[in-house]
Amino acid sequence: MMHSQTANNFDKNARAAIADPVLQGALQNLATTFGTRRQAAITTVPDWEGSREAARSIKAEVLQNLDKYLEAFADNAERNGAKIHWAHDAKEACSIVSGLVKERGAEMVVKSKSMLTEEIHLNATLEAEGIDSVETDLGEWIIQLAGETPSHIVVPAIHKTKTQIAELFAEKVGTDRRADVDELTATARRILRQKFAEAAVGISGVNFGIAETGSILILENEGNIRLTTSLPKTHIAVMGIEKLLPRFTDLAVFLELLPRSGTGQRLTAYQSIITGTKRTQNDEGPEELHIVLVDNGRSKMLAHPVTRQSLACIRCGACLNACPVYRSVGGHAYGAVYPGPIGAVITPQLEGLAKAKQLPYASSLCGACREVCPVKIDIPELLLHLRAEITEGAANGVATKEKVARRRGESLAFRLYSSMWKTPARYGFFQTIARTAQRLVARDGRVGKVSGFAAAAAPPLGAWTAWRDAPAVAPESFRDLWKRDLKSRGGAQ
Amino acid sequence: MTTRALMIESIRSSLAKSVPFEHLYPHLQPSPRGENRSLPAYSQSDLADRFSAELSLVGGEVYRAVSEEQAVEKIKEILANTGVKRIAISDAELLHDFSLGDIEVIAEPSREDLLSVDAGVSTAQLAIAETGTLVLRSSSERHRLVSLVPPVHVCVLKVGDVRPSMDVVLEELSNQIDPAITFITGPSRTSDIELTLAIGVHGPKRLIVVLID
Repeated sequence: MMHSQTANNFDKNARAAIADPVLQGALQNLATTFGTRRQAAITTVPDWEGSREAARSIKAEVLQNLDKYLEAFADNAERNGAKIHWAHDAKEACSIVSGLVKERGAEMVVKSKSMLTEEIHLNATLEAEGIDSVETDLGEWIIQLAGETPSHIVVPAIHKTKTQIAELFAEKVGTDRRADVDELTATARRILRQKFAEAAVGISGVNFGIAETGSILILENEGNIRLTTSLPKTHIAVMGIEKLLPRFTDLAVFLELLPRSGTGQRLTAYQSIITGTKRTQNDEGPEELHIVLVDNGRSKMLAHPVTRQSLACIRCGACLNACPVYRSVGGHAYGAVYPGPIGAVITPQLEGLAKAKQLPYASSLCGACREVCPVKIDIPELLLHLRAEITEGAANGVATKEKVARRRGESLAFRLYSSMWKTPARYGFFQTIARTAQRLVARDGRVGKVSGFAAAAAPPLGAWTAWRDAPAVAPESFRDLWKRDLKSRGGAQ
Repeated sequence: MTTRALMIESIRSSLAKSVPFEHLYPHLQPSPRGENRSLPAYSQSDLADRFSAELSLVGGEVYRAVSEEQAVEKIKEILANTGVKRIAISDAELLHDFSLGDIEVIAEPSREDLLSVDAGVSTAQLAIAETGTLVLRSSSERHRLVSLVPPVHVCVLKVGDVRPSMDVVLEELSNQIDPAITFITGPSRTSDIELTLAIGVHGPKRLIVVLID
């Protein structure tokens, strides 16, 4: 699929995506499969709503006390033998990681899937430093071989068909073009095993960090995260500062919500809980554990109660699967690391409104995302908040002279519009005018795309109908109908 | 100022600018989870049955044995049937002097051994009935590689160690947190190609649990 890697091309990307039948098939498969599995999985929880409430409360508690929990996490992890690194932004995080790799003389590292490492573009930095960074999650490896970016938070290669992947493997690693899914999977296992055996450093993300113990937990199905974190001598975990939970036992509710929401599983195949390094020779655990804590725009989101919600996200991907827009256009149309509804709220906050001003509008505000979100993030509220910021021009570079003039024009138009409804007489009068005027543009009870003279005469009508139909004024209003009916029955009042 | 101090300061100054979240969303006041979560009172054998049923659903294999001796016999039989010639075992107490006749048993496997053996044998310290999950603790045995790298993982579990739910297990683990704790629910799997299930992508293709009564 052709797509443009900027969040300001959503319109164009979306149209291309809708015209791509292969992508449409893949998205249909995603929505049906994950939708059905999720639905089945949540019915096995005795009190799903209660769990969502509890999870949201725990996240609210973490965010309100993020400074304290973050320091507690760092101190406890270091007490157990981990080394904590602090990174203000993407650049700092990347240079910490590449510095650690270079100090260990490693020319190749194995990496497991992590949205944060995508966000900070870690692989590009490592490559620039001459370090070969091998993605080991099957989907991520496919994407890396193809030189693409993930199109989904949980299943990164969802936009590719089996046939396309077989072609890709044939070209890059010399397998049979007719290979089936099992053969393709076995090929990945064979090639990546060699990488695991050679690598001196493994890099992973983190799903949850526990403040009271300094533990990190990572979930997966494939086993590549376990290999990444246990075969190499050095494990580097890159973690967003919002990933914390206060207590070890808080994991229970999140382990109930995350797999069910993400893949519709009751539990993924593996969870690794790592607390520091091995303490005695007979112990097990990494010899060296580095945890890189990354802010990269997160602390800013704490400053407003609406934007703060974004930090509760546990990256399950349920809002993508439920969203009618994502399901129609796929992940690449968003032109950003995080796609879908959650991407439409996170990207403008991470990269700046000016760089992603189309994304808050890439939604019909239907609320399906809010409905499925395991931590009850009110995504529509966030989208509206960001839209308001864009319209108000609060974001740098968004307010231009024309925009300000247009906003004044719009507010005048709405004042006039509301005055038409102020009294029954005015309402009736303007309705009659509209009924006559619409003869020029209405077809079958709908006003389709208005252009030419009519659009020039009424610009808002032109703008509104450019992308959607407006309902026409009925030939006879309910009030007229009522009056006529009463008259025909003898006019009894 | 260190980066740590700067980052903590940046969090504090943002927090100070915001109305506390709870004031805007009073319905989200922290509430303890779960009055309606209590499970039916299972007997230990119910728990073992539930564990077996759940693990089978996700592709694990469960065999029952009434004694340690019978468990060893069972393992020997299963492995011999699948043509296994060399296995690696963990340092779990239960596996001391573990011998399987013709099958070569490597007690302290090197990385090279682990990458070349046909199966790995470990024990599990706890299990979760609700999800069919094994819980392996590094303070009890060095389990991480032996349960992961070979194509087959055989795990010995005692019925008395099966707990009803994740909540109970986490509570129990929180008394002493090991450097490495691993939860295992079935063999390694992926759906990354067209959401089609494939087993054994990076971890074991087979997970065999022998449950001792």
